[in-house]
Amino acid sequence: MKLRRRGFVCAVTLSGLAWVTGSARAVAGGAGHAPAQPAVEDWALWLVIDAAGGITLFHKVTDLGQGTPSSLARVIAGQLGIDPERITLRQAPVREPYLKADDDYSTSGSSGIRTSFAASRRLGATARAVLVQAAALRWQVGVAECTVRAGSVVHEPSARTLRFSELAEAAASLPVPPEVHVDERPRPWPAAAAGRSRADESSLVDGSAVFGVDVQLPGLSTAAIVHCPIPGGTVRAVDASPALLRTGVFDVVTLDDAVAVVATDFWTASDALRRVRVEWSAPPTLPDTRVHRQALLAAVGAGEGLRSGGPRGVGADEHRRASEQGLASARRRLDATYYVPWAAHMTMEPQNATARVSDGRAELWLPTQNQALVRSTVATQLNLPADAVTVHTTRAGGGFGRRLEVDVAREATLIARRSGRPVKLVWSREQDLQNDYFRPAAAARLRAGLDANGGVSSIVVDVATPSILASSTSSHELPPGEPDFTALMGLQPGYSLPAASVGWTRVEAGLRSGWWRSVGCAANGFFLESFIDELAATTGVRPLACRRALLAHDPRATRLLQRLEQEVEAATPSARGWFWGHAWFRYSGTRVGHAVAVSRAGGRRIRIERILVVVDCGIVVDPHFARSQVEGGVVWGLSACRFGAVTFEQGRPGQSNFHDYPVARARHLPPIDVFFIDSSEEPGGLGEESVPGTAPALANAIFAATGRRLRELPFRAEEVEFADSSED
Amino acid sequence: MAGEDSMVNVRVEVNGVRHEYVGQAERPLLWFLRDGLGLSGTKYGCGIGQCGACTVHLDGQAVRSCVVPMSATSGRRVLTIEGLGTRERPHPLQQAWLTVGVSECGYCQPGQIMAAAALPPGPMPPDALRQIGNICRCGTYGRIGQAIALARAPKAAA
Repeated sequence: MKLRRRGFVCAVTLSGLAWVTGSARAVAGGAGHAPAQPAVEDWALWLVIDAAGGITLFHKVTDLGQGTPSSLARVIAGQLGIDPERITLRQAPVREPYLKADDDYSTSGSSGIRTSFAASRRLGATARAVLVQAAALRWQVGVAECTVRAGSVVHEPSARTLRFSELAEAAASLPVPPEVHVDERPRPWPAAAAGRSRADESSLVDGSAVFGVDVQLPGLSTAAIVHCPIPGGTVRAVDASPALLRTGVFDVVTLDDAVAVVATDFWTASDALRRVRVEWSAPPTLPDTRVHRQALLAAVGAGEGLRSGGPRGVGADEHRRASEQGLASARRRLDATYYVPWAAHMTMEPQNATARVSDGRAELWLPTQNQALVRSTVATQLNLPADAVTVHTTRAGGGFGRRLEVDVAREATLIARRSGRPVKLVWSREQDLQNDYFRPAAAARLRAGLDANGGVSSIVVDVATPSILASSTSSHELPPGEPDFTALMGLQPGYSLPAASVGWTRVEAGLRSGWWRSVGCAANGFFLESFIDELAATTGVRPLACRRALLAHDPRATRLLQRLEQEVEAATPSARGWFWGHAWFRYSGTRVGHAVAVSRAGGRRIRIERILVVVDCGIVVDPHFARSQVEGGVVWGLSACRFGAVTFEQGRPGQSNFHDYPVARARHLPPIDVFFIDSSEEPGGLGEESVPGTAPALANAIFAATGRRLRELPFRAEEVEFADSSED
Repeated sequence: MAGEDSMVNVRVEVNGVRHEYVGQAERPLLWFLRDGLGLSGTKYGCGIGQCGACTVHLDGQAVRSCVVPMSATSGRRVLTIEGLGTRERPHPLQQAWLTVGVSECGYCQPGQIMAAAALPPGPMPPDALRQIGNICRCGTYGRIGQAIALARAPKAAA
């Protein structure tokens, strides 16, 4: 995947299904209610109807747990008038004709449904149109006299029926009509039977699902790996002899920055790896997160970063001068500095990849969000044509952006080639944590000038971060002279405020940065939505009323915040003692409102009582998966509030596993309620959208309860302690 | 084989089948199950008994198999997710997991189900999820609680 300057919008249009060739054109339909839309010409490539009656959908989005392939099947089934469960899902082969360009096969940016919904509808409508055509031809009747029902085309006047399977061959050879009629009802498919959303769901509860770590091949060996404990360091010398003496060890492979033991099985390989003696060369500068934090804070204090923002036609530097003047002449000023630390993904399934390299060919099996890049990377690595590399997508034990990186695929390929055997490389949890492409640390200084009426007259935001674009294996270099767009994500959530003058300073720490569920929004959502609360407190307006006023121009936002207020009222117990905090966020076409209730539990202790989330994501394609994604994003966000911090001191990692890098468990969670606004708008994203508002809503609730303004994640014990939700 | 390793000969019953293990005493049960017997439904998540993805039953008790050495399994009965139920006749918890639609990525769920299956019988303990304590990074905790409650509900009400 190549992430260009146009940024996330560009990056995120790549996933899902590839027949997206343009936005759906609404043309006045000739017959009835449905407008005509361009047909999908190569429909039979994606939707295969076999003679036995089976229907298979080939998809390019990876199911990381978010259920996107099943949801798209639901959309298609709605057009075809069939039960969604009749559709079998298969990952499309990572090659032509499914792979149209080198960068169009990835799962990222909450884009799976968003970018493929309209195209999926047209795909289903196209298939329906040609099946009806095939039947009408066979019966020698008019197309308009035919309907579809339960997997068949029906001619009511003559009471004749032909199953799709009987028509598939004829339909595939028919020319596709230029336009098809799309059923545009928001949900022309049956409501999801809860829990039956995925045909292969039972493999997830009986242990038979094959994740990357479960891949088996004839003659497969397993590799364990250790990387230089100091990021950026390299191998200087290796004494492999003690490991090679062990029964079951085949080989010890030395890479630039790591050593791997290849053995019969994972435990033998890991045990032998502990006996390998490695001397490492440290990098010239030792990563130190405390030093880096100071550098970030100094950078936002200096405010000399690369500038952007401002009204059209006004230069960024000119806008900065005007904004600074605005601050200087303001009646009152608000000035707050925030920080979030480095954070790890901690997918439950550690990073892994299986590679077989032989005779000018390579084959990989792995849980990945970035199939096309795996293929081209391995091809380049082995100096092979791309079509000599086959990539198989396994089930993925979580992704959250980590599996956009291709580092593990690269290592597995190298180890397989060097050792001359098929190898499954499995990282230990410790390796997974310490060699992550982390959510980078970020600092921000936000300043606002207030006029005599309490209105905001001027805003200046200075952000300092490392660059994800420059670090991730899935991106181009950072374009010179331009800010890394990921650092500025989420700073424009649609408020009617004066255009902010934004500055960005790149400050590196010698650590790897990557895509972490909601990317830059995770930090910026916390910064901005906390700052809006500070603004409300300064002007004496209730925080929710303040947001409503700033979003009065957006009817969808207004309706959402009204609903949030109603739900807060309904949830608040008659006994006093709950303090609510709120947040608003808009991302990838989805609007989200958070409300978090806390109570005081003595001293610095607070208890999180309840979390409410109201979401307007347009059409809710699959209510079950939609709700799951929103809840999961909240849990993810809460983890980052309470625990998530990766540290390095003089190059040495401060954490190694779940005992010193905790994540949210059931006992940390209050009841979470999710409400969707009923809508017939095009669907927005859902995988990341509930993350950014979680931290600020909690911080704002804590402020409401205690008067303490928390400007740093995770919340420190000196500031606040949490009583677990199930404690008395 | 390096001389300092202690070797054991262990007879252990897994899902009703007797197996003999000859090898290093300290090999964790998890890796005997996964790589020795090919029972890959039991997952590796942390290797230090923290996350619970590797939960199995040892003589009916939930244990984290990544920290149970093979030497401690002699003469004992192990139950894994593969032995809990079958696709045709799922355990009530597996059925409840499907009915509720608990899984997202699904990686931790065999461990969650095995931990839930070892809870004492009777009505749902109020702190069931705390007793389990397994990690789910997708955040399916709410539905895990619902599924356990559903599986324990009197059949008439289910």
